[in-house]
Amino acid sequence: MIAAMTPTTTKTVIQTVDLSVAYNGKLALKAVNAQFYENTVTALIGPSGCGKSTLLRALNRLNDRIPDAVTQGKVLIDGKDIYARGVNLTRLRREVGMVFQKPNPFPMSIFENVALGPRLHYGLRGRALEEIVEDALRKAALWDEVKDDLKKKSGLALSGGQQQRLCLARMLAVQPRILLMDEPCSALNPISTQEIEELIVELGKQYTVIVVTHNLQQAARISQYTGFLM
Amino acid sequence: MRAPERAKQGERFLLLVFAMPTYTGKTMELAWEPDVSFEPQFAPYQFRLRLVRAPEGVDVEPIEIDLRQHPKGCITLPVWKAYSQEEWLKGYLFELEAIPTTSTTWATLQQFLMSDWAPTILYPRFGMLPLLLASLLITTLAILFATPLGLAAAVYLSEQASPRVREWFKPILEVLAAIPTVVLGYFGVVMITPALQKLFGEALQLSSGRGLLATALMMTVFILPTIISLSEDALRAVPNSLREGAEALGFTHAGRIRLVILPAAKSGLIAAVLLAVARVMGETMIVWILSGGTPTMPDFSSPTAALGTLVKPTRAIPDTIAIEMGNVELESPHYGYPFLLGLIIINLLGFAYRKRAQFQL
Amino acid sequence: MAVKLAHKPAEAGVDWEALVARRDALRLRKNALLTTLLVFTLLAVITYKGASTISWEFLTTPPREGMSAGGIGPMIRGSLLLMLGTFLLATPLGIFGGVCLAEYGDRSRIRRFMHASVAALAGTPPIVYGLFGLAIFVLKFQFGVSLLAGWCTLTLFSLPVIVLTTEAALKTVPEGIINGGLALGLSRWQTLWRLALPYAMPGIMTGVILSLGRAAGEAMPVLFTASIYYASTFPALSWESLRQPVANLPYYLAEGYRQPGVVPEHLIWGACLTLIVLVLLLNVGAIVIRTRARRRYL
Ligand SMILES: Nc1ncnc2c1ncn2[C@@H]1O[C@H](COP(=O)(O)OP(=O)(O)O)[C@@H](O)[C@H]1O
Ligand SMILES: [Mg+2]
Repeated sequence: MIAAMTPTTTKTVIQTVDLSVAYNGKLALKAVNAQFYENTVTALIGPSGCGKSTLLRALNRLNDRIPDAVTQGKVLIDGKDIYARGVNLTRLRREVGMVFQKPNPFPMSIFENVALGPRLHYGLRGRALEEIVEDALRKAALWDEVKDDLKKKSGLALSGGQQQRLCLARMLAVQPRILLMDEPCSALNPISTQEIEELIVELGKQYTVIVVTHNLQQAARISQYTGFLM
Repeated sequence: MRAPERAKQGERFLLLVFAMPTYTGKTMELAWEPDVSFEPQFAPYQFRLRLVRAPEGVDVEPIEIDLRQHPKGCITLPVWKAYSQEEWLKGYLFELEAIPTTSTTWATLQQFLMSDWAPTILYPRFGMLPLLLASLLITTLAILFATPLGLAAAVYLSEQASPRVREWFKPILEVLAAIPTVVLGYFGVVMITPALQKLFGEALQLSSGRGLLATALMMTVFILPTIISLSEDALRAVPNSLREGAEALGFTHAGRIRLVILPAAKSGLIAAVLLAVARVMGETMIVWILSGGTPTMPDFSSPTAALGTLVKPTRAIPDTIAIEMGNVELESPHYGYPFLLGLIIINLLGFAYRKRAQFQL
Repeated sequence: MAVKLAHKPAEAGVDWEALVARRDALRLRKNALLTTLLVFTLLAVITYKGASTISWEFLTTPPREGMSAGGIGPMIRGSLLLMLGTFLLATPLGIFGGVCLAEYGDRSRIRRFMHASVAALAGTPPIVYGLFGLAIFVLKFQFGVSLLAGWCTLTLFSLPVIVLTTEAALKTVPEGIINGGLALGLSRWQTLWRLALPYAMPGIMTGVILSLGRAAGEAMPVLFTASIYYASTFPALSWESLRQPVANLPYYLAEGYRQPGVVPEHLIWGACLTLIVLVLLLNVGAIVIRTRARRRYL
């Protein structure tokens, strides 16, 4: 990774140290040293296949699921290595939320989609749960569109852009600090893209956001910092 | 010669053989039953006899008799004793040892390959050749009947039928596949055996139409859905580009199917047929109801005999298990045989499955 | 041969190719028609012969006069009892097995071996299950010929199919859903339980019901392990019944045929029709679940 980040006064939240990932012995990510700052949006840009998704998945250890992926190096979040022994994956992923390229709502009602995380993680129910769901949906700018048939409509019945915002809401409902987004707009039409972009800018004020995109203009529109992978 | 007490199979045992001095008084005639196997329970074994002790006062060289070389069942021994008149009449008892010359394994194998299955008589015989052959014949016939029919239907479905016909046909196949085999068997009893009886009953003195043919016909019905749906899957897996390529080369429809699509789907089709083989071999209820239940060696020596083999009662491996497991005595040697037959079926199936795995790649 | 004909120079006025193609098409269609005809003949004959016997009384009363009259109530009840127990035992076990195979069988060689073993078990003929059940449950565990032994044997019989369909259904769960769950911080177990299993459930239930249908019509696994032929009463159900054999439809039919003349033909046809309807109902249930689920997710 070519460090393209200007020194800053803001606090570093994530730092990768010589992070390499290999699939089947083939390096997909080679000794990446990068920093991501608190409450800013960082865009990652690079040709396809250069390892952008791999880097993102290394940050919440979703690569662990792939049997022949080997990770080396360190990822420090608040100075603590998430690849150290004894790290609680569940807690890590609660802290580091992720949105995927293709919207992946669960086949259940909109409410259930958002409520699943808080209910399982924090044991919330009733009023408290409904509040957190509403809050998350508002943050994801979806509340007004779905509030009428929250518990009846399936998440799959929404349009593409709505689905992606639902996934955002789902992620926000578990109260993460860091948001990873892997080409969140690539499966969407221009209007939905614009909505999501606005949302990202908004979220960047409260969260540490890392967005993968292959669109330079988009990176310029939404991010304070841009990293180039190649 | 006296039968020994029931010895264990494959063991040596002592026996006493009666001998008479011959007229000259210089030799003696040792006689035993001409059958190489003394008693039915030793049937698969071959023995050699060795002299253990000669009778008092008889001088004789040590002897060893290979029973196979003396089919008449007697041997003349030179002896060194003069005989008095009364000794002539009395005769002598030689003490011999019978030593099996076939190994237990070989004998067991040989026994299986013998042609009579009679497990419940006093000296039971477990020759399972007729059962095995019946199973193989039923399978062969059923596959011969079902494959062309099923394959053609599959070709029709995958190459010609409109999607609507296909949608229709799927549930029909599922229904056929879901009909319990006991119902199929009963259907065979009511529909097929009377017809066979009517056709061949007088000529062959049939008591019923049950036998190989009736079983194989019902097995055809049983296996048809499997063959059709698996073959159709195999045919549909042929890429469309091949079809279009063949069309571009100017093949006719039939030529396209015969020269391009069938060869391309070959391994899938063979796999389908092999699965059918395995299913027919293991299917019990249809055979149980339709085979007639009498172990018979197939006989194809003449057209009449062959016809008789097809329509007269027979018995295959699975129905033998079903019949005999119901009335086998626990703790008798017979008890193990249904299990052994089960093992044989599993191995036959395993063979089919292994072959299938080769073609499925 | 058709190919050769097709290359014949076209004669004036006769379109050989069209004729040949038409003939071939007809030949092929004939076979499919034959199969269809066969199915309808089978169903029609059995319905025709059995329908007149079916009545409420036939379905609910026990046989009378030494099995030669009356109904088939105990057989139906026995079959349903066998099904119920098998369903309760085999469903959780089979789903558990399928989950293990799909989730924990990552190491490819072990997984392939396990998968092949289960597939081989699924291809093992019913009679072998009967033998095994006799040797293990009836004799070794001393359950005797009993409902309990029948449950165990039928459970073994249906298990491989359930395991395989569960595994296959879990494989159809989109990767996106699993990743989504994990990215939310759900544990592997929660992802499986909350997301993957519900998604795969219609597929799994289809498999369960189909294998139950297979078990319902199969006499061989219960032949030596659970069956009794002569059943002229309705024994009261109690814990004791677990250790007692039950009458059931397939065995009744098998014996009814084997002892010709005892059970009159119309009773047998009636029982045939009942069994087929039972099995087909299960199949229809499976198809309904399948199409419903398709509609729900697509
Ligand atoms: N699960 C996987 N198994 C093997 N190779 C993979 C896997 N995922 C990604 N790769 C390889 O790693 C490289 C980087 O992939 P990825 O991170 O998806 O790139 P990007 O998101 O930048 O397009 C590619 O060459 C890809 O082929
Ligand atoms: Mg990518």
